[in-house]
Amino acid sequence: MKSIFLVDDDKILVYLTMRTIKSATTETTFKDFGNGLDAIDYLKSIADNTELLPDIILLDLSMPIMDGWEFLEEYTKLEPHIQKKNKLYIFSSSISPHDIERAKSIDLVSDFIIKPLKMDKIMEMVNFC
Amino acid sequence: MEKDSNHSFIDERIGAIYEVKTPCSTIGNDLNGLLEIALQLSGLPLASISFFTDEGLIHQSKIGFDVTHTSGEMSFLLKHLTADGCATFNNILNDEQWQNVQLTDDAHAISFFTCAAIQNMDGAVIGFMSLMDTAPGSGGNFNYLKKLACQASALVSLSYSQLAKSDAQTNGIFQASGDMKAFYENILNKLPTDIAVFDPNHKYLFVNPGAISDEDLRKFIIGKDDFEYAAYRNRSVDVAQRRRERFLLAANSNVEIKWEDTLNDPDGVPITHLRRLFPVRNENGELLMVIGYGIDITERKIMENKQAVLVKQLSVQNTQLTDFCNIVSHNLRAPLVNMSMLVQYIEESEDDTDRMELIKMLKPVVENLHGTFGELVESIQIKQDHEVQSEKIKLTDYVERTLKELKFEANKSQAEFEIDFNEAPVILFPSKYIFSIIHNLLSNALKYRAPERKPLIRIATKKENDSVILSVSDNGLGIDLEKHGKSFFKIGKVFHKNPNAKGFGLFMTKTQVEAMGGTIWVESKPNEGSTFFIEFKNQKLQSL
Repeated sequence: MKSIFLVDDDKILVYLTMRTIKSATTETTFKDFGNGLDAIDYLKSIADNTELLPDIILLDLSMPIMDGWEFLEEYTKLEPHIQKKNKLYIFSSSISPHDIERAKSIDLVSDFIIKPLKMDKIMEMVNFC
Repeated sequence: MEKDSNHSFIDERIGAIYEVKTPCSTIGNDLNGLLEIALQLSGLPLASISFFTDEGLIHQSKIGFDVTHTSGEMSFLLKHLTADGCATFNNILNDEQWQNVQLTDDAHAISFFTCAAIQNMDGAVIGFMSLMDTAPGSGGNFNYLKKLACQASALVSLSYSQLAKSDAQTNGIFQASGDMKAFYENILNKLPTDIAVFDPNHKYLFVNPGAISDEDLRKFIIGKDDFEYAAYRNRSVDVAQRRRERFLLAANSNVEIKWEDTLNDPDGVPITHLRRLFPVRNENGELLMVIGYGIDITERKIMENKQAVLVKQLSVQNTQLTDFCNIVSHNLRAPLVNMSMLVQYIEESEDDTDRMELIKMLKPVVENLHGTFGELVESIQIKQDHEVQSEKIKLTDYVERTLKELKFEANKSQAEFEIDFNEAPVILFPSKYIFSIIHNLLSNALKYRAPERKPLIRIATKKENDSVILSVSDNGLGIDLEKHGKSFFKIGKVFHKNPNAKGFGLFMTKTQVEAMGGTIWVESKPNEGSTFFIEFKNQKLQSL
């Protein structure tokens, strides 16, 4: 089983994305967070717990309270203390080259996925981690 | 010199070669001196005095590089000389004629080249004095180069005629030192710049008419300093004090100092000079004198200021463009992605209940898209609405109208309002903007109230010079400005977990305020509250 954390405030998008992933593979579990801060707080609380830590994080950029960029700043500090390696993908509707370049310059970011999530991308992600 | 005679220059050049070869060895120091003046005036790094010979172009005198020959054929230069014997190439790197020419050494790829011709007694061009730079040229006035080249021509001719008269006399051009002094003063007096030379105690040794046009004053100042001059002319000592500081700075250093100096002329028009001071020392490092000069750069300064304004406008426009890109790429694209996915699932679904659920989800997505689109159109209209008319706005009316609209939210939270428009009850502003601005600020203050206390919202105006400053302060949630300060007024920025927050309001308010030349800023502390300030400019006329 692969565990996926989805950090995105758009409830409809979260629902549709989960539905797409489920139809592609049954080998996954999900958890979603409405903003970056909720996700960071939870990750801190389970930093030692390899059972609960995710294999994949899908991170939206535009969110209230703590957006994706701020999350990345915090997560860069937190990551060395996380007891299980994972893949982090930016998952955004932005098609701005500036956003894409900026995201790819961050070491922790594996890739920049432009919404919506496609089947082949899901399989690639799940098989890769 | 006439253009038609260019061909004969090339022919006569050959004859001139042999004239130049011998005399130059004796006048080398004088040519070096001329070249030094040209280089200092221009501020460029490289200069040469060069002559056409049968071995190619020879640099008789050179500063900034270290080869004696130019490789490549350069007679094409003669074709480019203007009627007064000058030629300027702003970028020879892109110029085919220059392709096979290497002017200096490998270390300097020359880009800018300007020269003035040096002629023999018959008026034939035998060489030139040039200024060079590795950066391309960007305009500038090199009039003095022509004058200096004339002096070089005179030197060369003089030395040749003297040599012709007497081969034995090898002592050069000038027999008496008086001639030499007159010669140099002639140059300095005719240069269209201010020149002053000081002794190590900051007393004047020399000033040229460019610096002080009145001959009597020019005589008076020799041997005196700026303080004595200021006293004599009944002027403030401030200028003398500032000059003394600069002088000491130059006198105590080994490098030249330069600065820009703006003064008003008698008509009150600002004139800007680029001034330089450089110390001259002997071999033991003792200060001999300090040479100062200034060039009028007023025109360049005006251009620079115009450019700075343009750059600022452009960067504002660029920010706005980026903002729009962000809306299109995120705020508009996000609901579209949802819609297309929903439609796809609706098509694929074979279960009626499931299909109904999906259709229900379409509604908020469409509303979201609709809302964003409306706001986008509205903000574009603000930017295009240059014709929008200001009118007298009685602020109380607009606040009351807004409070009526926000009645439900205000009552629900038991909000209290304190309004004080005594200092400036009326402003001059477009009615539709001010309504939207007040509505945004008040609804924000209510929306982001602290749940544990009743909202207290203060609205006030005060006068400041020609402006009126409107402030709206609340005791609400506040914002961490260190974290959000930079992106505060951007589109889609939401700082609280509040389902009504779309993040468009402040962007709109800012756009409307700035469209009328005003400014908006915020002071805030988390959990204490926020105060928004808006400065409405040009409110002087209304004594209302």
